Parts: sequence; structure tokens; C-alpha cells
Amino acid sequence: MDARQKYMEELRKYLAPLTADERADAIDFYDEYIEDAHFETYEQIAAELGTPRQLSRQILADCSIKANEADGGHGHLASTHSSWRVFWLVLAAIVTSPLTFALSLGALIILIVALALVFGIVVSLAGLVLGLFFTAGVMIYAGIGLLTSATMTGLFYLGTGLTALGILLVCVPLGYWIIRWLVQGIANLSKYLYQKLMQRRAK
Amino acid sequence: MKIQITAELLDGLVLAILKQDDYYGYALTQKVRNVIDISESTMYPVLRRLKRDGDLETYDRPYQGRNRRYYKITASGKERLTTILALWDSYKSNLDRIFYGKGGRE
Repeated sequence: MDARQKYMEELRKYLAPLTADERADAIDFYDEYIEDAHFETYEQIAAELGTPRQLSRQILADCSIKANEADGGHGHLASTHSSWRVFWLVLAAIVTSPLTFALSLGALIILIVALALVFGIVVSLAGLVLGLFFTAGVMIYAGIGLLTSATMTGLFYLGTGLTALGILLVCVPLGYWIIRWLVQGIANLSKYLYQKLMQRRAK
Repeated sequence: MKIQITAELLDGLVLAILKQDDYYGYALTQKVRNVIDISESTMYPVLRRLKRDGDLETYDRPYQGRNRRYYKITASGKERLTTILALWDSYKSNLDRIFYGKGGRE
């Protein structure tokens, strides 16, 4: 097996997460490219294109960004799944790319802070919903218990509990939308950083 | 120090080269690299995006017992190039007016 075949074999393995079409397209392009460039040794190919791992991470990140744009776009939100994919693949691409240490570190810190922020908001929202749900449950339960002995107090508790439940029903879809927006925001931030970094990388 | 090229200008550069002739991947990359500093792995995503947007199409031609994939500009690609050139012209003349003080209002 010559250097090109070895390199392409490794690249193919790393590109496994792509669809068959996308993988074949990338493989064809680079196979032809390496042959036309007359790169002789494995080291030479890696020096020009990056190691198979580095190149594959770049291709995967690019493909996930394109999929996310095709999925969303025109003011629609892309699926949460596709947005997370962009985030993780960009993170992976930054970690393996031959950027300067300071640049990679800066980008990683921004992404991790954004992730922590989103995580914090999601946890707070979940806590709020659970708390409200618990309070409503307790009040409705107490209200029913008091209906016979102290009707007015019982009705008051029941009413407050049901109101809390109503607010909850309004808040849940709202929270869902907030989370989807946040996840799309993370994908957009990842994409933006990635494109800035790739421009920097040009030697 | 060097000036960073934007994605828009890189698209324009590729389309302008393809407007003159069809090229295969490696030759096209070298052609671009003669003018601007980009890494060897920059071109693939650019070509994929332009193809997805319908600005270029591909065809295969046999070469020494294998295939070479050629890139060809489409009508919509030519339109896109015209738009990019117009943007570039106004951008360039605006900056030149400051840089060289020519073409001013007076």
C-alpha cells in the first residue's frame, strides 16, 4: 500500500459519521488531489493537508455547519440535534487543528463558557418548573383536604394551586422555545468562531 | 502581516477563474494559491458550497486510467460573480479614495 492509499484509508475511517455520499465526495476529491499534487510520502501529505485526523475533523465540522444551515435557515430554527452536532464537531476540530495554542485556547474558553451559560439557564428553568409544579401540587392537595372543614381557605388554596398549574402550562412551551433558541445560538457562535479561525489558519 | 480574505472574495476568485476555463481540483487550488495565501484544505469546503448553491457544476473526464473531476461555472455562478465584482468595485474605490486621495468630490 503506498502513502496515498494509507492516508486515504485512515481518512475514510475518520469520516465514518458522514453519509455515504458526502464521504465518497470528500474521498474522491482528496484522492485525486494527492495524486495530482504528486505528494510522495505520507509525511508530505500530512504536512500539506494535515494528518487524516485533522483533515477529517475539518470536513466533519464543515458538513455539520452546512447541514445545520440547510435544516434551519430563513428564520427557522434548526433541530436541536443538528445544532449540538455543530457545537461538538467544531470543538473537536479546534482541539485537533494546528492553530496556535493561544487562538485555540481562546476559542475553547469562549465555547465552554457559552456551554456553561446555556447549561445554567436550562437547569434554572427546570428548577423553576419543578418548584412551581411541586407548590401547585401541595396547594391543590391541601385545598381539597380543607374543603369540608374550612371551605373558604380550602377554595383559596385550590384556586392558587390551579393558577400556579396554569402558569406552568404557559411557561413550559416558552421554556422549550428559549432552550431551542439558546442551542441554535450556541451553534451559530461555534460556526462563527470556526470560520474566523479557519481564515486565520491560512498560511 | 497580511490582509485576510473574506469568504465572499474567495468565492468570487474561484468563480472568476472558472469563468475563463474549467479546472480540476488541484489545478484550481494552485491557481488560487498563486494569488492568495490559503492552506491546501481550504478549497474543498468552498467548492462544495458553491456547488450546493448551484454556482458551479462538475463533470468527470478520464485521465491516465483514473478520473479527474472538472468544475464548471453555471449561469447563476456568473450572476453571483457579477454581484461580487460590483461589491468589490465599490469597496475598493471607497478605500482608494482615502488611501490615495483620488477620485474625491472636489
